Amino acid sequence: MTPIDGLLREASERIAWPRGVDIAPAVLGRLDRGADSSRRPAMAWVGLAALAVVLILAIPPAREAIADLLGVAGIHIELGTSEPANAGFDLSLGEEMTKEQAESESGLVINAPADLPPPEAIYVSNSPVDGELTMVWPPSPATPEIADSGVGLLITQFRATGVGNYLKRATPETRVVVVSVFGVDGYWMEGAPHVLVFEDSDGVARQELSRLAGNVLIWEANGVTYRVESSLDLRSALAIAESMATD
Amino acid sequence: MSVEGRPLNDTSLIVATKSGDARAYGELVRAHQEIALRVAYLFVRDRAEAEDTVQEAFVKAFRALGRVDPDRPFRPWLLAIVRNEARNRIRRQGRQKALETRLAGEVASGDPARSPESLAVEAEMYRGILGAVDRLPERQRQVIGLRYLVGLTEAETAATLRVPLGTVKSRTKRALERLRDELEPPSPKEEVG
Repeated sequence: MTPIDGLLREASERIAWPRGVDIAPAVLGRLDRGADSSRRPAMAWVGLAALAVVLILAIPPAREAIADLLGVAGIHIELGTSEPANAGFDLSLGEEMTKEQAESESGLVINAPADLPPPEAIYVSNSPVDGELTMVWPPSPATPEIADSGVGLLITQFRATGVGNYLKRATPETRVVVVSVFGVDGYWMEGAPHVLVFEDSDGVARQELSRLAGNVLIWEANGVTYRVESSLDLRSALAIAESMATD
Repeated sequence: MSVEGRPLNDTSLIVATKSGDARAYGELVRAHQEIALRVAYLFVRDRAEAEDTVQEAFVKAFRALGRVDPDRPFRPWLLAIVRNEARNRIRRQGRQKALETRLAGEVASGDPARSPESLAVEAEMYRGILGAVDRLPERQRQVIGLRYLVGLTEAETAATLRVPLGTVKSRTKRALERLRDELEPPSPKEEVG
C-alpha cells in the first residue's frame, strides 16, 4: 500500500460518518404504511404495544423476548402491498417522473415508438447533460431482457450534436456500423459497453458511458440525439426508430 | 468495519423476505445499513439526509425484490440504488448544498491521551488530506471516496457508479497522482560534487 493509500484510509476513520444508527425499524415502518387499510387495525395494535415496551426494547437481551411477545419472531408478516419498483429504477437514470413532469423538466417532447406500449417509467437526469430523458420498458417478447438488467428497452433523448464526429474514435472495442435513420447517418453499436463522446448544446465536449451491455442505435434529428438500447438486432432496432416521430 | 458482503446470509434473507418474513428484511437492512449510510453521506454530506436517503433506498430495494435473483450480490445493487437516490436529492436541492459540508470540516478528535499539540497537528494533516479529496474533479472524487473513504472494492465501486471496472481503475490512478502531487512533498534534490 503506497503512503497516500494508507493516509486516505486513516483519514476515513476521522470522518464524522453517521454511526450507531439502526434504520431497520424506520424502513419497516415505511413499508408498513404502504399496507392496505384492511390490515391497519392489527398493525395499530402492534404499534401501541411497541410504545409500551419501547424502553425495554432498548436493552439488547430483552429485544428477542419482546419480539416473541409481539409475535414478530419467526412469524410470517406481510410487509404490505407496496407497489413494485418500475424498470430501470436501479440504473442511475435519474429521477422518475410522469410524462408531463419529464417534458417540463427536460424541455423535450417525449418521442416514444408508436408501435410499442407506453414506457413503464420515464427518468430525467442532469448527467452527462442537463435534461437527459430516458424511457424504460420492462422485458417482453418484443423487447427481451438486456443481460440481467431487468430492462427490455431503453430510449434516451438529450440535446446534443456531433455524435458521429467522435464515435469511431471512442469505441475501439465495439463494432460500429453506419446506418441510415430517417435519411441521415445513424450509428449501430453492438458488443462491449462503449463510450459515447459528443457535444452538448453549448458546444462542450461530453462523454457518456453505456449503461448496459446491450446493442445501441444512435441518431440525431433537429438538435436532439436519440439512443435506443436493447438486445434486439439492427433490423428490429431500426423498426423501433422508424416508428418514432421526427418533427 | 468489514466491507465484505456475506453472500450466503443475504441469499437466505432475500428468500425469507420474499416469502413474507419481515424480520428477515430487517436483518438484511442491518447487514448493509452502515455502508449504505457512508455512501449516502459521501454524496449528500448531511447525516439526516443520508439516513432519509438510505431509508428510501431500502424501501425501493424491497419493492424490487421480486425481480432480484437471490444468488446475485445484493450489496452492489443496493449501493447503486443509494447513489441514485442521493443524486436525485442533490439535484432537487441544488448542487451547492451537497458540498457546503466539506469532509475536511468533519475530522473527529484523536486519542485523548495524547497531547493537545500532537492531536492538533494530526487533525490538521487529516483535514488537509480530506480537503484535497474535496478539490478533486467530481468523478475522481466519487471514485476515491468510495474506494478509500467508504472502503469498497474496485468491483463494488464500479457497480455502485455503474461504470466499467477499467473506468474505476483509470480514474483512481489519475486521482491518486493528483493527490500525491498535492500532498506529498517533492524529493530533495541530490547533492552533486
